[in-house]
Parts: sequence; structure tokens; C-alpha cells
Amino acid sequence: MRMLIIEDDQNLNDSLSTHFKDSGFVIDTALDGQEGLYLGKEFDADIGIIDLGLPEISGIDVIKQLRDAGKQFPILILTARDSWQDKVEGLQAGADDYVTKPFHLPEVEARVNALIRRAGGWAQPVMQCGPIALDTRSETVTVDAEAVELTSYEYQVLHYLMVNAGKVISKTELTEHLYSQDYERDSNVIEVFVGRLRKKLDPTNSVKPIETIRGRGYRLTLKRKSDEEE
Amino acid sequence: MRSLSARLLIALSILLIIALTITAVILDGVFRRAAEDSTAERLNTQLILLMSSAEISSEGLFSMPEILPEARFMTPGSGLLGFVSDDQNQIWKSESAVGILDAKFDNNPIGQNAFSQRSYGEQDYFQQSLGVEWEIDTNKYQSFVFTTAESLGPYYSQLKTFRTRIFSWFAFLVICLVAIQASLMRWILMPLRKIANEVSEIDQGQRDLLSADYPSELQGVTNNTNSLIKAERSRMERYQNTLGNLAHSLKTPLAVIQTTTESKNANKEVILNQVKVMNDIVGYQLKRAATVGQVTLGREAVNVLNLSEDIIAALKKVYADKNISFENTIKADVLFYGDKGDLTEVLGNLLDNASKWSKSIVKLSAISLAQNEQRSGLKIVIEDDGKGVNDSQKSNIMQRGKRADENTPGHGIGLSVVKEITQSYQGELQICDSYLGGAKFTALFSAF
Repeated sequence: MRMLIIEDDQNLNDSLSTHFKDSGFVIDTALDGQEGLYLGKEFDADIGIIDLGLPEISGIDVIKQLRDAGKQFPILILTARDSWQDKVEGLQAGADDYVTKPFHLPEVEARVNALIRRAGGWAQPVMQCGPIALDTRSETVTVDAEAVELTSYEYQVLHYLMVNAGKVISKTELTEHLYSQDYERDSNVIEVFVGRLRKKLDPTNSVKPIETIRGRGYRLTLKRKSDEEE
Repeated sequence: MRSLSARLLIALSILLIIALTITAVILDGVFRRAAEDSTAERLNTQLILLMSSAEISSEGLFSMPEILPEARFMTPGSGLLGFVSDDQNQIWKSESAVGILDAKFDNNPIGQNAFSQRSYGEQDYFQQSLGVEWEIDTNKYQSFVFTTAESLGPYYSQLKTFRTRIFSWFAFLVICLVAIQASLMRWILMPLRKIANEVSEIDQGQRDLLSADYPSELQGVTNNTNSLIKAERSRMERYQNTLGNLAHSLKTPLAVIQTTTESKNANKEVILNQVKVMNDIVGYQLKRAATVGQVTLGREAVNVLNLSEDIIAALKKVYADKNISFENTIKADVLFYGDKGDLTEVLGNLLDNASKWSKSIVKLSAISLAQNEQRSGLKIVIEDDGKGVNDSQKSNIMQRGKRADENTPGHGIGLSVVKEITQSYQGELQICDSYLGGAKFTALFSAF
């Protein structure tokens, strides 16, 4: 998942970046509104964490301008001023949730995961497609209720495919959303990960959860399980 | 010209002087007219007297007796002159007209009076002439012009006396009126001076508020000033209390952190807990201090429906997973006379709480409480279908003066702030059970 962090406090920015990098996110980070707005418009983020009190351009304006530019990714606002007026203003501007400073990183991560899941059209914290279930809270994957051990990258690939279940995802998109720029963008690596995922999720090769569409990319073909069926 | 009373005084004095000058000019004209009229009347009488004294023989010879009924005609320098002329020449003049050759007059038509002003020698005269035609014999007529003139000397002196009197009286009047005006002004502007004095007394701490006995025109200003002063004072008090409470309540967790870090086996958990406590304290105290309270001077009334819809839209995002149905029955004309931030805080906290605890329904209603002609109070009711609040929690929440450092984190702070805000509007926060199954919060704001 690709995350945009705009926070003017260097320490806080660093700790957020480090935390989410460790959780497997690809991070674009900015210390002021101007740069943040540029990054947000230039790269296709999956989630944004934006502080309200920013230099150059205020957080509210950054959010408004991103929304005006057609950017639909979910945005979590950070606010130091714990007043409802600020929260309402931020949410009205186009943000999707808020966290007040100081915050616990696990809480921010829970909110971030929930926002990403919701943006993909998933109402519940456990995403289920056919026999495959991915719990965003515990970051665990089960197939037919049996736990499957995945590496961090494998989990990220599956997470991305499941959030976007039914959509065709190109290798480039996967690379951009799962690898930082400093990694070599080698589409072979993606193929390797997808191959391993297929083996782990479907050792008997009977379910065929991930379809390869020649020249276009991959698609998670299994039907989403909606809330009522659970 | 920086003082209002000086401006008023100067403007009114100029008006007064103009008015009195015009009056004096008119009076002067009237006086002269009256004097002229009476002189003309007198001269006419003298003219008739002269005519009655004159004798004309049948040959047409004109004669005037030596002794005339009016002694002034016979006294040189008396100021009363008499002349008689026939068709061509002056044929008689009175003894008083010594040194004056001929009377000057226009040729009067027979039977016509002519009043005019003439100069003889160095003196000015009013003059009355009358042309007459006498029948001196059967069908023989002779025409004469009789003229009387009176010196203007007495008239001038009368006019002078009149003008002197009128000038001195009017000057006296101007001085009196200006003096009266000045004292009136002082009296009228006294309340303003009083305000200035009272404000400086307030400044020096000798007085709490402006007194109440001001004229009705100033009541608006003084009342609003008083409410500003009150608001400012309570804000100051709140800030002071906040700082005091903050300092006091932050010291305990700081001490815990200090002792924990100094001990050999520093426990990270303890420090984290204390950081949380400190955060709650700061959050609660600052929110309390930020409450604006009842100052609506120059503020627009807040539309409760619009604001609540904004907050509900925001909360729908935050609680997107819960799919809560918000039932908002507030009417579009319900207004809140207070600070928008305060109402946002109250609605935000109560709706957030209700959303947090509800299963699927949050109900919101608000009505205006008619209390006062201009402004109304407000009653907001928010209920949910959650598990409700048990009695011990209720009393905890309702407990007065409960400090943030004693509050259970995550639950009490928002409600304490709501309670503080309603109290600052002389209202209250009530909690009871909702028929929906959850809690029912009623926030009351009174009008003022």
C-alpha cells in the first residue's frame, strides 16, 4: 500500500514513516503542505495521513485541493487541537477520519487499515473472497479457516489484490504500490511473489484465486463474501 | 473640536446669534416704519392747522396771521417748518424757517399728500406737502401748496436709543441663553462623563460593573459593556483556574515519571500511563478554558439544524462501519444564541458518544425554549439504542467539579466538557434512559 504522510514535525513524521514502512507500506513523505500537495497529485496513493496545522498550505486546503484534483484515496487527519469544530471542518473538506495528537501508533494503523478496506468497498475488518479470508486487524490469512503463513511482501500483495478484488491490477501498479522507489522495479519479482502466493493459497491448484490476464496484469477472481452471507 | 459639548455649544450659539440678529433687523424696520407713520400723521395735522389759519382775500392775496396756533412755527430752531407756495413762487414761510430759502417739493396734484425726506441746511427733515385749490371768488380758483416739515433730530435720537436698547438686551439674552445651553449640555452629557468615570474606576478595581441607573438611550451601551466585562472576567477566571489546575494536576504525573525514571528498573508502562493521564488533563483543561460562554455581542445566531447536519455527515464517515441511522428531527428555525464552537463541541461530543455506544440508531432533537423576547434558550436531546449508562456511571458523569485527572480516560472528558459548556450558559446536562434502550442526554442552554 502506498501512503502519503504530510506532517511538519520532523520527529512525528519520522516515527510515522518508520512505523508504516515496517508494516510494509510504501511511503511518500512531506514536511509542508506545498510539497505534500505535489506528492499527492503526482503519485497514486492508497491512503493519506495529513496534519491539519501545516506550513505553506494548511491541511484543510491540501485536502480540498487533492479532492478537487480528483484524488479519491482515503485521508486520515491528525489534529492537535481537539475541538469538534476542527474535526468537522476537516471531515467536511474531504477527510475520512481523524486522530487527535498525541496518538498511539497502533491506533493510527488500525484506522489506516480500516480506511483502506472501506475504500475498497469492504464493510467488515475481515475480507473474505471464496475460501480466502484476510483479517486486517491481526494481519492474518486463512484458507478454509486454516491459517496460512505469508511473508510480509506476500501479505502486501494479497492485501492489495483483495482490497481491489475483481479489478485488474497491472504489474506496474503493484510495483508502485508495494515497493519504494529505491527498490529496483523488476516485474519478475512480482511474478515470483504472485507465484508463491498461488502455491500457498491454493496448493492443490483447484481454486485458482489469482488470474493472470496477459498483457494487463492480475485479478483476484473469487467472489467477495458480503456481510449478509457471513 | 474634539469635545461633543464644544461642538454643540458652538453650533447652537451661531444659530442663536443669527436668529437674534434677524429679529433685531426686523424690529428696527418696524420701529422706523412706526416712527415715520406717526411723524407723517403729526405733519398732516400741522398742515391742516396752517391751512385753517391762512386767509385769502377776494383779490387773491394770501396772508397768514402773525400769531399761529402752533408756537413752534414761530420759534426759530424749533424744528417745525411751514411753507406755502402758489403756482409759481413760495409766498410764505414760517418764522421757524429762518435761513432756509425755499421749500423743495414735487408739484403735488391738487388734493394729494406727499410725504418725503429732505435736507435743509445741515438738517434732515420729514416733509408733508398738500396741493389745494381754493375758490377765491365765484368761479375763480387759486392753487397753493402747503408744506410742513419736521426735523429728523428727535427721530434719530429715538432710533439710536431704541437700537442701543435692543442691542444690549439681545447681547444679554445671547449670554444668558449660551450659559443656559452650556449648563444644559453639562447636565445632558453627565451620564457620558459618569460612564467614563465608572470605567476608569473599574480599571482601577474600585468598581465591579457600570451602575444600572443610566438614561434609556444609554442602557444598551451600558448593559452590553457590562456583559462584555462579565464575560471577560469569567474568561480570565477560567484561564486562571485552568492554569492553576493544569499546573497542579500535571505535577503528580510528572513526579511519578521522575521517580520512575530515577529508579533502577524504569518501567516504560508506568511512564506511558502517566503520559496518557497528562494528555487527558491537558485536553480537558484546555477545552474547558476554550469555552466561550454567553457572549453573543456581534455574533450571528447559529442554525442548529445546519450545524448538526454537518456534524452528522462527519460522524457518518468516522462510523462508516456501523451504518448508524441518524434520526434528526430538528426544525430549520431552531437557533442557538451563543458561540458556534461551544455548540459544535456539545453536539460533537454527545453525538460521538451516542454513535460510539449505539447499535444502529441515534436520535437527535432540539427545540427553542421561549424565555425572552429577543433570544430563546435551547434544549437538545440525543438518544441512542446502545446498552445505556448504569446508575453509578450516571452519578459519576453528573458529579460536579470532577477533575480530569480523576476521570476515567476515554469516557468522561467529553461529557465533562459538555457539562461545563452548558453550565457556562446557565444550563445543565441531564442524563437518563432512552426508550430506545440506550442513554438519553439532554443539554439545556438558557436564554439571557
